[in-house]
Amino acid sequence: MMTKRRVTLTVNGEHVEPLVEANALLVNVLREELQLTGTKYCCGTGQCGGCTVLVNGEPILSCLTLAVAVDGADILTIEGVAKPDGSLDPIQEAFLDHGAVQCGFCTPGMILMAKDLLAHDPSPSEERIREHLRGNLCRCTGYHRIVKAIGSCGQ
Amino acid sequence: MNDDRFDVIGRVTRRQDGHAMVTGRQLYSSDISLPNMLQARVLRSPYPHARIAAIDTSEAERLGAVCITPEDVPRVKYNERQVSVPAKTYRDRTVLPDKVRHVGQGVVAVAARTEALADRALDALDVEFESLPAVFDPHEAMRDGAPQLHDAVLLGETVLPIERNIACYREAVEGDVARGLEEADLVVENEFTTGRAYHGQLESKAVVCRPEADGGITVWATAQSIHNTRQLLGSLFDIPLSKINVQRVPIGGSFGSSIQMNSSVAVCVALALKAQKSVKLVLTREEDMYDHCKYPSNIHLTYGVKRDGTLTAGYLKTVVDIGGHNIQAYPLLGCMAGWFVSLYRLPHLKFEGTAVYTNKAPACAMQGYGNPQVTFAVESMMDTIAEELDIDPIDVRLKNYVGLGETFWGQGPTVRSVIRSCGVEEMLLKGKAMVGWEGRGSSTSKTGRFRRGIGVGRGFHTSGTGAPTPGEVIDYSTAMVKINEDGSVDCLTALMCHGGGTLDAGAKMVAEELGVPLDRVGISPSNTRSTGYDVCTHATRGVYCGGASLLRAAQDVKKILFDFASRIIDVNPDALKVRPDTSRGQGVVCLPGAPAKRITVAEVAKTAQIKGWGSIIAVVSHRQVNCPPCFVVNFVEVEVDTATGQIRPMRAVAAVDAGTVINPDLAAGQLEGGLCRGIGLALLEDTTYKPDTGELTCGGYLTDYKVYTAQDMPSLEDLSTFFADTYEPSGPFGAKGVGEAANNATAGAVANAIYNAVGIRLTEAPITPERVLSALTRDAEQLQQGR
Amino acid sequence: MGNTRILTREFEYVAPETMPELLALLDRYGPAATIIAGGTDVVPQLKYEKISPDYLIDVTKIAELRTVRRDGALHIGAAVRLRDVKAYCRDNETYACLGDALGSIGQAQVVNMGTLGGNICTASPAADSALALLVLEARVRLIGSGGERVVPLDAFFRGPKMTGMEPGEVMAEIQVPAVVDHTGSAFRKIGRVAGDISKISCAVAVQSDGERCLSCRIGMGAVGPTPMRMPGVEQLLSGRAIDAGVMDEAADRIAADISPLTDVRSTEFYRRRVSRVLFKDTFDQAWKRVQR
Ligand SMILES: Cc1cc2nc3c(=O)[nH]c(=O)nc-3n(C[C@H](O)[C@H](O)[C@H](O)COP(=O)(O)OP(=O)(O)OC[C@H]3O[C@@H](n4cnc5c(N)ncnc54)[C@H](O)[C@@H]3O)c2cc1C
Ligand code: FES
Ligand code: FES
Repeated sequence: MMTKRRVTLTVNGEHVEPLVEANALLVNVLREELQLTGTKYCCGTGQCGGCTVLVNGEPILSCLTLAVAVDGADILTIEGVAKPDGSLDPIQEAFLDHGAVQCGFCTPGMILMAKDLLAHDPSPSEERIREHLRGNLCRCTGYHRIVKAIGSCGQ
Repeated sequence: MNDDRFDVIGRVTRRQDGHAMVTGRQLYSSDISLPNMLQARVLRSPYPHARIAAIDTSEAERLGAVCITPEDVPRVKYNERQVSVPAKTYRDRTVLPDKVRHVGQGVVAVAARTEALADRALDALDVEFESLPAVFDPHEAMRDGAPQLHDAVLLGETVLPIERNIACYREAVEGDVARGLEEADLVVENEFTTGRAYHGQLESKAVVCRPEADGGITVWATAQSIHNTRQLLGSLFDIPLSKINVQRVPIGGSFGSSIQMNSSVAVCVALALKAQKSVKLVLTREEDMYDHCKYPSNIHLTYGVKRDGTLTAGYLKTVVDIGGHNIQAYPLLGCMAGWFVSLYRLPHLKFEGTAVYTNKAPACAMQGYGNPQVTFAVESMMDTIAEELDIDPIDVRLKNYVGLGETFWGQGPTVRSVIRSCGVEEMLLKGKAMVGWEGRGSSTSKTGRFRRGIGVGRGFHTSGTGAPTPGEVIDYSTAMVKINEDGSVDCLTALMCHGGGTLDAGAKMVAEELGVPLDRVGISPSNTRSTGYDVCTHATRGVYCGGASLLRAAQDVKKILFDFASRIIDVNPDALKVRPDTSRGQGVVCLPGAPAKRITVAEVAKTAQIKGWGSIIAVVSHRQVNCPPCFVVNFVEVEVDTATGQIRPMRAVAAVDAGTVINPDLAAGQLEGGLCRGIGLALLEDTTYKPDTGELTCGGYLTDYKVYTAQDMPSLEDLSTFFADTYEPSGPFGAKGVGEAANNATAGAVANAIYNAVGIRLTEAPITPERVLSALTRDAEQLQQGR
Repeated sequence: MGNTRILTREFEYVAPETMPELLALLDRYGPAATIIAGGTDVVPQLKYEKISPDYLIDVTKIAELRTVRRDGALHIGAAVRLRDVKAYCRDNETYACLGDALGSIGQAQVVNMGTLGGNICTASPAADSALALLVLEARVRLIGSGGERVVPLDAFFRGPKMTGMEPGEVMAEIQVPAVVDHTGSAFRKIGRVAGDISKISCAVAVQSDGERCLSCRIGMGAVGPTPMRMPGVEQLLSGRAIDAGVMDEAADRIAADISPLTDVRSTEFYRRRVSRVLFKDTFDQAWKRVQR
């Protein structure tokens, strides 16, 4: 049996100290230990972006990340995107207004990528949006409305 | 698009489940977690064909795992798809097999406290396989002496011996093809193939099962039909249906892959029953890719045609490689015949379809159910005919398409009806103008390394499988509508939504009919215990059939509402109307022209409760006696890099004739998504196998099964969608479907665009750069040799 | 079949903060240890059950492996993230081909996680930044408890997943020599979809006087056991005035000198066929970038 160690994380603004094994992946710690199931497993090999979370403000793939390797990090998952009072982020509003959501399984990853993009580039070109999203697969929408929704958030 | 006839139908509204989805709160089956739950894993065959000689689970059990082997599960042969009538259902599998027929097939399942422990238990299992010769090519499989996958299967209750691996065969003949071809001025003939594309739904299949104290079970599963799942579990495990509750759970994409009850559902239930604990089984991506794929096609197509472009005969012969199990090949062949004969008018026609077992993952329905495959061939041929006869491809289509007033049998020979709404001409002509068809030029006029071409494809899908007489396929829906005591409304149905907005459309219809503001119409969570039967959300039937049942229930409820209102405001119920009053957030029952005769829906419902008149509620089971075609037209522009064979979709116009459009945004979203998957089918996607091991070439990993990204699709400006202006008399508020239709015409349009760019007819999809470059090279060599 | 959802392999994780600690750990655990940086290759390899380490040694917490320094040559710490190298290249056009290569890598997320050292040490014939670095004549500094050495990149690659690193060694930095004047460079690749791993890739660095190619370095990826330099073509082009005829000659030579295979991503025929045009396109772009 592997020894477990305590890692310290700030997840969506909340301080947590889950006990994890060395081989625990961040995606599973979020989904199972912390019950934040908005982060999805879809491929497990870095191909789909469904497991994207922001670590210290930058998007990473939680299916390829050891939880122990991000000890001390500040993590934002989809559950932390809306304001604490429950009101939605403008990106979330835009996804709803533009019909950018079908089955919704890719949506958490897409919204986090959009947050990251808009944080660095407040009015991204369509080309830039598409490039930034190329690691996030959506099987339902053909991306059209997702790109549109994110574009509408630009200033 | 706002339609003045309606209050909410046709208006853009936010979907009800959207808020949960954008906040990560939507719970899919793979997100469900129960107290004391075990995690399951399945040992899968490394062999494409093998008998299981011995299984030893003792070591795994010592680790604390609960194990099930073929010995521990019901021996009943079943078919996971319960949509056809029993007599037409081929049954060839058991919960766990004693012979594996493809790599990745489950053999033994274990459940343990954690997934890691379950995985360790898997390693501790000792399974002895006796490897058998395997066959991967359907044509080889039909040869004498080929390895035999199944000796016999059950058709209904009858034992059906299997010969030369032919799972089933279907033929349809009208007129005399030989004569029709003789009458023709031109006969064209070609062979087309499409790949075993993988559904690639982002959520891999998942199931959670909780055994209940009364001997029953509760199941949360990736499923397009909760009732079929329940019935199948009942018969497999001999549990009364009253003790089986299958919950409707949001689904992370499906595209047809869960019409059938997924094989892991029965495995999970067997584990839970043995363990007497809740068990969760979520496939990994690689397991999922070994679980299912689209039906591939190999089509030989012949048309006879008069000099003026009128078709005289059509003959389509297809061999379908169904993999190790027959999930739904018999109705598939019927539909392929139906797609073929219902696209274009054929005075003489013949269809022959053969479904063949091979040692590969079982194929099942994937958006279109044989339709994109057939339409790829047919639409390619229409362009060939146009080229040969020097007629505009659009005119060939206009001349021959099956349209208004004509009989069609899209869902197969037993499902015939008359077309009562049709926007084909409108879409072809409008699309033609939008895409700049006249300026596309011929392939011979194009030079240079990068060449652009525009192609057209048209197609259709049926809205459901309904018909006046019961056929081979079951089709009806049940819905309950109830007006609550505050004037809000509950809609309860077993209908599923896979993301397309099916249930939202239903809620809109109810809101429209009851005159209640949409935000006061709720879609209730549902399960098999609380709902009547609904066959399945498949066959593009959600809005047309499922929606119609909700509408019927709403109509019944409205009668009760008016009856109660008439008692209160003393007006004959037949004279009453109900309208939403948004300022009050209420429906208001009124007598038009009499301001005093008004009462809110809430007041009626509350009064009825206080006075003891009863609840305003209705339950309806409804079968549509029609399955009208929802037509589609795609125009696609591609750019071919003749030096690398790479093809980029540059521009597209996609149109659908869906009758009245209920959710314009979501319907357009269906068109855009369908287009993207259609382009994938045309250019990119296939699951291939290693001939020596029978493993997937990509290993089951998305690393080497590519699907298009946002960067590969045409820009916002270059992709347009529109709807034909039609009204389907048999549909709820005039609506038909969209769903599967959205991708049926795409692959043909892409192939035609490639032809228009480089003058080469590519018939083998996916049309990869490798294939394009080989074809261009061959073409250049032939040119050099002076043809 | 492995399991892509969880890691079934059990191991200890250690994250030294200094080089001496790291080297001691490498010596202590020997072949039982695997170095992990961004993990974008290591974790999938674990999932595919291709590697089975007892220890994972994380090198990303060592400050000196995370720094970029310039003293004529550019010294990039092995554990510097692709994202940071990409940003550096954006601001320094001299390394254009490296910028191209990094811009072509997969997903924004992978570029955030992956490191330059990881991309090289993976020794994939399709590694994009590795190919660009090859034509920039990069060297790598390797450190072991026995000392350190600097190895030219083209001597570093030995075969698929095989490098010239000795047991106990770690890659400390990548050194990119200053680019001589009048040099332009470019990198291009062909993938199945946007951001895909290469079916075939090409990197070119060329020095020119506007008419003649004074010298050049050419690399081809995913067409042999390692990212490959093409010395034959480099010689062929050196000193020649560049025109269509010369380019055809060079392209033929490229197609003849590579040794592609058929695999899951493409075919031998295709790779050989497109190597000509990919090379020409890349060379052309590099040529246009020569500063005069
Ligand atoms: C979805 C996805 C897409 C990708 N796309 C591309 C692409 O387009 N192009 C491309 O080139 N690559 C691609 N990759 C591969 C990979 O991301 C890169 O190779 C990356 O740079 C590896 O860096 P890393 O830090 O993550 O390496 P790790 O996974 O941490 O390590 C990789 C290897 O290097 C060794 N190693 C790492 N650092 C050192 C060191 N300092 N000293 C000695 N050994 C060391 C490790 O032991 C391991 O063998 C992709 C990967 C994924 C998951
Ligand atoms: S699950 Fe992590 S990228 Fe797909
Ligand atoms: S909405 Fe279903 S995968 Fe994107």
